[in-house]
Amino acid sequence: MTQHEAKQVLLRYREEVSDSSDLEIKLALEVAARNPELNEWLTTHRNFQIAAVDQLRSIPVPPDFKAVILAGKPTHSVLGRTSFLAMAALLVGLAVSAALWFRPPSETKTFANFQNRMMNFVLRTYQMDILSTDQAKVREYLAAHGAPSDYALTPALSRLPVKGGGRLSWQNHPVGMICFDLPQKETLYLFVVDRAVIPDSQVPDKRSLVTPGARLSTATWSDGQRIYMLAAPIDAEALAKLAERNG
Amino acid sequence: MDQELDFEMLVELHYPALYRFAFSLTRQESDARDLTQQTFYIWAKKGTQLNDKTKAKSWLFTTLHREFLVRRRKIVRFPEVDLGSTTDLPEVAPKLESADAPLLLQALARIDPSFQAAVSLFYLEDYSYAEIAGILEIPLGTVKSRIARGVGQLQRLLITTERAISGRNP
Repeated sequence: MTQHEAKQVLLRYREEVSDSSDLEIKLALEVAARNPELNEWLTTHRNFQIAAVDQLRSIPVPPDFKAVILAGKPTHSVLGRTSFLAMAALLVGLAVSAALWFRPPSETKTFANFQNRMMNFVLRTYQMDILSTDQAKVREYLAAHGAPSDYALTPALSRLPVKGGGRLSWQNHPVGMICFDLPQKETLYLFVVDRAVIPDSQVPDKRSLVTPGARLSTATWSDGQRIYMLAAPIDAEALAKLAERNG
Repeated sequence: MDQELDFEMLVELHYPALYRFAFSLTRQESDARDLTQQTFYIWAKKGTQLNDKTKAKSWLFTTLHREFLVRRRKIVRFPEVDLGSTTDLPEVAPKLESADAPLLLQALARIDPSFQAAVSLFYLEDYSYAEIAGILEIPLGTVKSRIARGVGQLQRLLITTERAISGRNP
């Protein structure tokens, strides 16, 4: 492989994407390792790739957009040259259909349903809205987005490093999510929701209720106006210690 | 455990990524919003028929890209673009500062249209080449070629812009 050919191949090289089974990339990297000029080009190219990733992933998302999607309110499009009437008819159709499709779920507001929904969220690919090791910043983000932010951490939780958080929604009510790094390299999720959102009284007040699961253990408790739920792929005993409110 | 994907949760999980993909293709907030909303609307109509729910995210990206192509075909007569020879590679990759994001998006919009989606996905998500091929419904070799050529074009455009700016502001 010539230097020129190696360069052509390496244009599509990004460490997170290119795997070791890609022989072309492997060979091109070997050529670069032996060729100082190409190696220098590769260093600059890698920096470019990292910067491009950062910049494209920081495209701001309109803050109200999720609510708009959920409400099913179509926005106007400037893409098409479709006639105004055809577009208006399309929008009316969308609005009517969306109103039917996006109507509030019939799920009842029980703690079991809330717990099930949050567990589903953890078990599927999730996304944090904010990545930060600063608890204050996570609280700030949640407060700014209407989610519970005045949550009280147990002594064990306050010692864990935070990694980020997000604002979720359940039954059109905000849910705060705070993510922690566990020493086992797993992620621990803390969900906080207003007590008024879940009228059922099965949430323990004084002691935490720990539920072992095949893939996730959960611990739940309430405190003042908030209901808390911890979830992590660790054993129930370890989770119970993290949920212990007396340290 | 309930395998049905809850619509609200699906939106929660994927709307930022889909919006960014749409924005990288259209560069217009209104168009990006429209495409993203339309994608979720189609999911509400058809997505529940998807057997493998773990593929929901890829399904959404594929649907958004299809919608984008349909709309673009209606309004754009693709210009004949000289794809150029890949022998014309940039000597050195341009340096991107954080303030250059608009320039990057502008350059992305100017590369060959057939390369745009592959390059956008390449940067926006950590998908493998095979996954990008699945989303864009094109062969794996084509994806690799489009990314390489697209990134090459992107860098050349940015270098040209960089030189023009520094020429004006020596």
